[in-house]
Amino acid sequence: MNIIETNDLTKTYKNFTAVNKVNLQIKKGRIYGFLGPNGAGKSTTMKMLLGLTKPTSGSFHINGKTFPKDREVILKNIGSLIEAPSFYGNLTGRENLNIIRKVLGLPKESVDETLKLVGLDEFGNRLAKKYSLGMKQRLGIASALIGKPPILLLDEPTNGLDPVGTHEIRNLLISLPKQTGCTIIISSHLLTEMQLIAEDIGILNKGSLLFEGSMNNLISKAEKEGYGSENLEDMFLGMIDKDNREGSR
Amino acid sequence: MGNYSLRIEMQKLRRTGVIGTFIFTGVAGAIYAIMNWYVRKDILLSADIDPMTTLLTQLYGVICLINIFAIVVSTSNIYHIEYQNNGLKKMKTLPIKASEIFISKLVILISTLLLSYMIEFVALAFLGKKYLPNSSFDFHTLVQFGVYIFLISLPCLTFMLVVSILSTNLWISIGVGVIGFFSGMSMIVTDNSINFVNPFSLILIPSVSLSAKVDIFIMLTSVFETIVLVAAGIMIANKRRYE
Repeated sequence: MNIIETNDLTKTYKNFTAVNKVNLQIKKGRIYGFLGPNGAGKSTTMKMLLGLTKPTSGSFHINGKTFPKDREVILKNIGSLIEAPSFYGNLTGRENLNIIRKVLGLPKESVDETLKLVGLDEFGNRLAKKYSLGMKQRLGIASALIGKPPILLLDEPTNGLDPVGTHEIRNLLISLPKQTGCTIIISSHLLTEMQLIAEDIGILNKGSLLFEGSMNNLISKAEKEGYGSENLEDMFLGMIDKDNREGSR
Repeated sequence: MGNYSLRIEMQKLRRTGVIGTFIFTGVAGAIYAIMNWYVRKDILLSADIDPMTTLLTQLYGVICLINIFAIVVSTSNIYHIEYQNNGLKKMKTLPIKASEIFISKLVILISTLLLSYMIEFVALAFLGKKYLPNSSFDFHTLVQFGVYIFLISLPCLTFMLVVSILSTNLWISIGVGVIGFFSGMSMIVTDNSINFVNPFSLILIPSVSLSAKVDIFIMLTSVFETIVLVAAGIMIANKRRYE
């Protein structure tokens, strides 16, 4: 069953098409890796799914609900981290999460649980503006995870994390669908990371969806089209290169 | 919108000095009024106008300048915290409307401005009760004048909050406030109907008036401008994208 479906989703800025008729089908309870080079349209697509930017044309459904009619119901069920982590620097990590907790109507314990989950429990009372880059990233992830939402939209979640942090967050993300049945849509440039995490893959290039399917389907396609590798990085680069060459002709 | 949003907004204001600015302004205005009265009371009371009018209009001038300063700084700061680390972008991904955030901030600012005026008017009441000759102190006039100047301050506060929501840069908001203040100061000395459009002129009108009487036209103009600016703020808050 698809939890997110987009129909010809398009976003145009003046003469530039950031997202071009993208049709995503994201299955419930899976980890969906959203790949693409810089400027491919991954973040723009995620922003449209969150209502941060309005599609120029096309539509999407999240759990059978549509924007903007069911905006509040949709957003109550999505935890997100888009681009850089967003927070209030004048508040502590705990206070930041407490604000989100109150908006979502969650129990008080959820704040400490989430701080512990991302490894910030010792630093909960420190001002967010005094956090290191990695700690800010963890706070951003915590603000997405709080309340264990059924859908997680994470744009480059391991940005700025050290290898230990990356490993911890990776394991956390892998365990979440098994524990809570949530669906995770995750974009990253770290293809080796994605190969370890993602079950399904969507590849965007220049705003268009080049591939969508399971990791096994991607491997089959790669073999068929002669990329000759089971390495996600090689498959990705081969596919992007082929699309760029065909596009330039 | 329930008081739930108000509580969230209050929590966001921790360590920002927004509420502190208004309390400080109220206390500073009160101290200034008392000191000014002690230094100039003989000159002020020798003027050929009603002592109660002297108390209210002559001391209001400086109190008003301090209040404009507080309005500009607080309104600019209240949205700066939203833009500084993309806090508002996060809020836009939560099931809360941006217009609720705007209204909550407005309610908090209006309440703290009211608190500031109350502190200042307690000082004026003290001075009037103690120093005005022949029991010329009139509490009813004081309260009426207080409500009047509070209402004519609202367009300035709402205008600055709308500027603040439009500007992601703190200094642009403050700059607009400073320009607004000087435009108000220069326009108020002219007898021009545009004075009634400029929120910074409206707030200054009683300081150049020699009457503490409530001007119904100015009061209604202020209420109308406030309603228009609040509607504009709600629309901008909902329409504005945070990409």
